[in-house]
Amino acid sequence: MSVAVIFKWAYSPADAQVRSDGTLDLSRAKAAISEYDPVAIAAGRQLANDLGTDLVGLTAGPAGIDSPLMRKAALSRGLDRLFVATHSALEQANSTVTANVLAAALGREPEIAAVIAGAESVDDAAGQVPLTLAGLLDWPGLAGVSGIAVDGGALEVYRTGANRQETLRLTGPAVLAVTTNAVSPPVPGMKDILAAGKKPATVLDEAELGPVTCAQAVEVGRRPTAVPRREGRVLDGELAEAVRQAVSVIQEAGLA
Amino acid sequence: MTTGQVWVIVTDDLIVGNALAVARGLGGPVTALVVGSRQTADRLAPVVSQVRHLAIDQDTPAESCAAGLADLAAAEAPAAVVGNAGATSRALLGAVAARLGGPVLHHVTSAALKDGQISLVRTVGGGLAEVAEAVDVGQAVLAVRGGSDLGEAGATAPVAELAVTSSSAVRLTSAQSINHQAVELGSAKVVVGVGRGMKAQADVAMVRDLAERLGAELACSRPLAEGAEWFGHDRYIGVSGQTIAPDLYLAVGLSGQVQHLSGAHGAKLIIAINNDPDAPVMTNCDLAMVADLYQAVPALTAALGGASGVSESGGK
Ligand SMILES: Cc1cc2nc3c(=O)[nH]c(=O)nc-3n(C[C@H](O)[C@H](O)[C@H](O)COP(=O)(O)OP(=O)(O)OC[C@H]3O[C@@H](n4cnc5c(N)ncnc54)[C@H](O)[C@@H]3O)c2cc1C
Repeated sequence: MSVAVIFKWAYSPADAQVRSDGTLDLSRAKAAISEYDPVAIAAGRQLANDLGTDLVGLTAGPAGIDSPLMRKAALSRGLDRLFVATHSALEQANSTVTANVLAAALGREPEIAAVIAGAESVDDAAGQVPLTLAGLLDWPGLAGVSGIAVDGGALEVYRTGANRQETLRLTGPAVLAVTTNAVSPPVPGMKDILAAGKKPATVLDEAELGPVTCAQAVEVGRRPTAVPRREGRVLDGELAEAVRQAVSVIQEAGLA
Repeated sequence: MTTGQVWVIVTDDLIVGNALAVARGLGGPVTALVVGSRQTADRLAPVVSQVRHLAIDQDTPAESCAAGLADLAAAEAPAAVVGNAGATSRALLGAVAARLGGPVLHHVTSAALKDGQISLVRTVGGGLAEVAEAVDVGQAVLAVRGGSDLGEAGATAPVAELAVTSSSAVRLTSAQSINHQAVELGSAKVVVGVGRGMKAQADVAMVRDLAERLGAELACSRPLAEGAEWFGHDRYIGVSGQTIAPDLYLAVGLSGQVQHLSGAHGAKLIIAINNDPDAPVMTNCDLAMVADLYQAVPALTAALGGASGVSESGGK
């Protein structure tokens, strides 16, 4: 048995520039483990320890995502081993294509107790892939999970929604997307990084994963989001003077 | 030309105002598929053409109906399936998309029927860009964020009870309501937003005083809602949260990452208070006050207090 954690190797829009044609210039961005995914890996590690099983990582993307840097970044965070699923369909992936590739790759693990995922990927900010994956596997898919505990043969799951707190009981495998702060992920140390080099990583390529058929939305246009130009005028002087200026602007706008 | 049935999936969070608006834009009759309480189903009856209610037991989370709902979608082939981006809704939309073999498109802002296809606009890249896309009728699964205003009430639609199979692999063993006062930031005229520059929950009181002085709604960055839980989840602004368009957004002790500010572009005036002159918010605002919020906020509150008494403008 194992616990699987899915993560994304992605660029952050915080490091991107939008061009006038609406495409993103990523030349100043570096791919990394998506911002919230270290939380998922750490939550997966805890669960695997509690269950006394392996923690296997899985990421999916076009062939280009596989690199020593990516492997180290993932394996140093507490995975026992790593699957890298590469597929040409992921050059232009939508969430369902990605979920299909992940589902095919997870078929390589004989028995999975749970698949853990992060809240949202840094680039898409949608939080959809784990839940579509759950649909494909026909397992329960739960997002907003803030805690997971082992209770006999079952899993106890806590979540905090917009207006209530829930405890749920799972009697079989499930896909669980954890909240942004479900656990605090430790920063990998030198020892973890060195150990990562010795952990197994397996590439699953298109030939092994099989074809993916999925409808696509066709892009017909694109533009930068209209962002008003703002002056960023610094209110100078002592605090009292800055406050006086701010208040006068607020009053001029008729807001006080 | 009409599209045939448009489904809107509704869970008990009821934040489906914008999803309903997008669904109505498709021109066909809108059917609400309510996976939740009968009360929620009844709330939808005046604003859609038809309500179908998937009643769930006390100990069953709505997610256990995901496969049943997907079966129904496969059997009835609605033109489009729309929902919000809440945790439960995403699980239901994901199951439907998995079954239909198409994507769930997120951050959708509008959709229309054009040349026999559904054409839609959505934001991508953390809000940096907008794309227009076309997707086949029958393959459109759309996630639309926000909106507690369900639209104008019309004739009360019939509510049909519907039975779908539900999985027994997950059970709800306990549930507790959280008492966060619901808020509609989208229509607020003045918003005061705080971030992690605020060090303790007790300090919310200080910012609330300022907000009250301005007649403003209080809002925050994501970590203060999801994580610190100092605010309800409907109070954070950004790509994953609320979109605001006030006359004034006062951004206090928040760095202004793209994911946050993309929810605030609609503000007429942004004033930022931050002790770091290099924080991204300082170049993405109209007025930047480089100051410790613990000094600036009380000073501003006091100054506004004096001002409001003698104000000639009286507010709009
Ligand atoms: C997929 C994804 C989606 C996201 N969606 C959202 C979203 O919808 N909304 C959102 O808000 N965030 C979102 N985020 C998170 C976002 O990237 C930032 O991490 C977050 O907004 C930062 O919150 P903050 O500004 O409160 O904290 P920080 O970035 O830590 O900033 C705190 C600021 O306070 C200032 N400060 C500290 N002390 C003081 C003081 N005494 N006086 C004055 N200033 C002080 C600091 O200089 C700093 O600028 C998302 C992230 C990801 C990866």
